[in-house]
Amino acid sequence: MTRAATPKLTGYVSLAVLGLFAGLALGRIELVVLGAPFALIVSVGLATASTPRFTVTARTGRSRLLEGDETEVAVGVRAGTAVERLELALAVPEDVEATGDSSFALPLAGGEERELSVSLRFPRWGAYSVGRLGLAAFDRFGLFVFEQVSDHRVSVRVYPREERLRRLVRPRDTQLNVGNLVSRRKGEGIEFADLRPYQPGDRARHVNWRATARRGSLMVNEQHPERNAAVVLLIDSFAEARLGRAGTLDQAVRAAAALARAYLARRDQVGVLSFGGTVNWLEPAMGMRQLYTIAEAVIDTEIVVSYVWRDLRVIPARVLPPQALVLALTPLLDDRMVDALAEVRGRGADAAVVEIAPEPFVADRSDERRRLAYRVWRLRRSAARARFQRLGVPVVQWRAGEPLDAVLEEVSAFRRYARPMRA
Amino acid sequence: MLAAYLGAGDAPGPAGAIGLVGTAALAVGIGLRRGTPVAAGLALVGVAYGVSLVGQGLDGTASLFAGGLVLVAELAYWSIEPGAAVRVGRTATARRAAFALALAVGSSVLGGLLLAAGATPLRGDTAFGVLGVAALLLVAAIAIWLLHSLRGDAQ
Repeated sequence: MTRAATPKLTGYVSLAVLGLFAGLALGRIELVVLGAPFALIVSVGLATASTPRFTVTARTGRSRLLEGDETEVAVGVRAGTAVERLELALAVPEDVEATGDSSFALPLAGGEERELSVSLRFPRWGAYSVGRLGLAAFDRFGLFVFEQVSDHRVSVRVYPREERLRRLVRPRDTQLNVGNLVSRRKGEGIEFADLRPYQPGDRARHVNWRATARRGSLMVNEQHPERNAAVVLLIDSFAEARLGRAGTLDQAVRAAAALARAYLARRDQVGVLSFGGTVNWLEPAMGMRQLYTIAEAVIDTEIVVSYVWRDLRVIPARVLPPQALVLALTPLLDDRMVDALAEVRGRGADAAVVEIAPEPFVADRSDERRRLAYRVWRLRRSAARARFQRLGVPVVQWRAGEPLDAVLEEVSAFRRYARPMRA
Repeated sequence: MLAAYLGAGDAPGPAGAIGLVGTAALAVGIGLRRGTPVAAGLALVGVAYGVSLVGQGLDGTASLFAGGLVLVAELAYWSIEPGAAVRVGRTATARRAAFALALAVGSSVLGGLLLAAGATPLRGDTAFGVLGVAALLLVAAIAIWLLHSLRGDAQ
């Protein structure tokens, strides 16, 4: 605990010295009368000031929340000695709102216990540390302050609220594991694929007797097997457009969480690649465990400003498996991301871009120069979009407030009608 | 300050002006929540009172002025405390206000006693003078020691 003199102590000492000296020098008892009370207050304050003893605890209610949820932080104080005035302030992390008071001032008698409650609302996903308390205890005369930081931090993880998705972008190719997608390959399955002449080893239940009767030779049915797909959600963490509390990264993370849940529910393999100033990845896998791993991973996504030129060579090959659908969630603000996506396509991967429109987050276009810069910027963005479309990569804008379902449907429509080109 | 201004007597000009500057410094200190202007303001108000005494006899109201000055000082420092924005319970606020008032009354009583002691004719003026100087030096030494030891004092 740190003891410090308050400005009051310095002021009172100065007034006492000034009054007493002036009274003596000028021979006026009235000035001594002015200075004497301050001298007496300082003397009594010094004699009675002692380090207060108290213990503080902080407990956080729920540590796993969804965006917009609230949790209570219970702060307990137990005074060992009487404290004239104890001030407590709970450090409220950035992007978190205290719905009531987060600072308190209270007098405490010796042995008294108090329980205070602070209600915190978490409007944005992320990982937060909650429970850091600043304490300041004052003596009877307010001449000293005893300060202490009490750290009871616990991690509160706030998961993004997910949009329910009814339709998903279907990957062109499937993997080898059993899933819910009808593969383009032929094998054991339910969906009819083709007819072919009987070969030794074919099972009798596959013989198509109608076709056999028509052609006069044994014909067997071929089926498409049901397989799963691999989807890699590529989150652009190079840059974001942000206006107040809303930003493109928020949308990207919410979309990633929703897509991961929906694809995993379909028994697909889902991986996440956060590509930016720092690069983090999760290899594609399936199951509920992967869902929780992705949920934990995406809330740690943050924009780290870096000028290092990164490309996909830093990414292990198993993170971007062949025939995986790479679904990029990006505001297309950084050329490095644009190049990385072009490289993904150049490798022959199946790619689609959900462009999180940054325009709603551009605040000031008031003067002519800003308007001109804005137009140039938009033209550059159009050029980047056109580059992807030439490569056969669908780019669909997603504006804040629009349902993600509609955007995914647009991506699917593009993929149905567009002819892929070689990079 | 008002007492200084009204009691300025033959020399209202300088005392009043100093008092006004002191009040302004006090207001600035409270507005900016800074201790130095508050201390300077209080000191200037005291100086204004001292100036107003020039050429005057013993002022019997000095104890009241001292009580008022202590009350103003208590309230001024209260308002610039770092935690002044924190919501405090009504009971605690009332208790503190009563304490400030008690300090002001106590100061007036102490001032009255000092005035009474000062008005009492005693022999041995030189000895009392030496005692007074020694006491003052002791107070000054304590003040200097305090200011040094409390700057960033940690335990």
